[in-house]
Amino acid sequence: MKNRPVAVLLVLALLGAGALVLVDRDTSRAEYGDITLNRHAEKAGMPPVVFPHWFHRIRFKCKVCHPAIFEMRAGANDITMKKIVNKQFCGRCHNGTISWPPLYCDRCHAGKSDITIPKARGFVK
Amino acid sequence: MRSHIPHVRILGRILPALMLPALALALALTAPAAFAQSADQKGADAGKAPAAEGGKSDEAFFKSLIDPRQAIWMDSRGTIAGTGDPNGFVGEAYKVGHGQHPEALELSQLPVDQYGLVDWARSIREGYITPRHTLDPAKQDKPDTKPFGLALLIPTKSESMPNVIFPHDIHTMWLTCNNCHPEIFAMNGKLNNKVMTMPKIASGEYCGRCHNRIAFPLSDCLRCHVLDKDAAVPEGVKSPF
Repeated sequence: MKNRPVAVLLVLALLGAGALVLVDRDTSRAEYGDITLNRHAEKAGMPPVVFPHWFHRIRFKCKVCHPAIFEMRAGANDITMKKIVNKQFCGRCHNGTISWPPLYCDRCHAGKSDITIPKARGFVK
Repeated sequence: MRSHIPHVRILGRILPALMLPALALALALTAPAAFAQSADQKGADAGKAPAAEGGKSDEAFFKSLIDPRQAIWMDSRGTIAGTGDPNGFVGEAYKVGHGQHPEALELSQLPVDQYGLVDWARSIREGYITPRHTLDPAKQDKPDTKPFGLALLIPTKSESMPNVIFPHDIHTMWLTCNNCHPEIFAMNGKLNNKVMTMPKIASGEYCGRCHNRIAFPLSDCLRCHVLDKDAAVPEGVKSPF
């Protein structure tokens, strides 16, 4: 039983650390190469979309989506939820067959107005 | 972003996940008989805790908890969106992976370049990832078309910068011809190297359509500028300009 105080302390310390991490979780952030989509989102009262490029790139080659589904130019794709629901753009996969359907708004609409995508470091524009 | 002290960052991510095995351990210590079964039900979590105590380094223990395929399957807020492996199961990584989006990428343990950004070329060449090449179920089991190997010498306009050797090879591992041709780069000798300058590339034309945005940044000069001005052109490299 001499281990008991040590074990209790350990559990308390881990609970505390866990709580800190959970508090920290509410901030949305992005990674180099991510895309924010906000042509329609905030006008329609939704947070901007953060598209995690890296996440999709791990699973699909560029040519799977470009240029057939998304043209590779900023502003070239007019993406609306109506089109997504009709299996265009994101809805080509996010329709419950290849990937989860567009039912979980905050999975994509996770950005904030002032969200910044990390830029390439060491390069001055 | 990627920390230079990954051990500390990973520790931060993993602490919550350690809570379960720690709890199980504590319960097992205080009330062995009554809670033995509950500790068993914690499954692999509880099973791995003693392994770490048995001399393994902490780092090895933490790494053993993470299955990258599962750790990275989450949305940009870090909320779990799935396991990432249709045949897999929600394992320890489901608990470990409750991190934010960039930390989730960190947990994927992909190779990185000098800036700490994912080195996608190495990732695909060395088999860290095997991205699919089509959405067509009928073609998914068939191998992708072979990469197009042609390497092109692009002389620089500057005296001080080494020449560029453009490898079609790595680009066609990801892309197909019509991603770049003919819209971004004209073919059959119609591309004028004199107007393809770094300022234009930096403002988003030519290579800059992808590099500095999605692909690796332009500040990584020597990743493209690889051949000294006075060096002989390697065999197999064509000089269209």
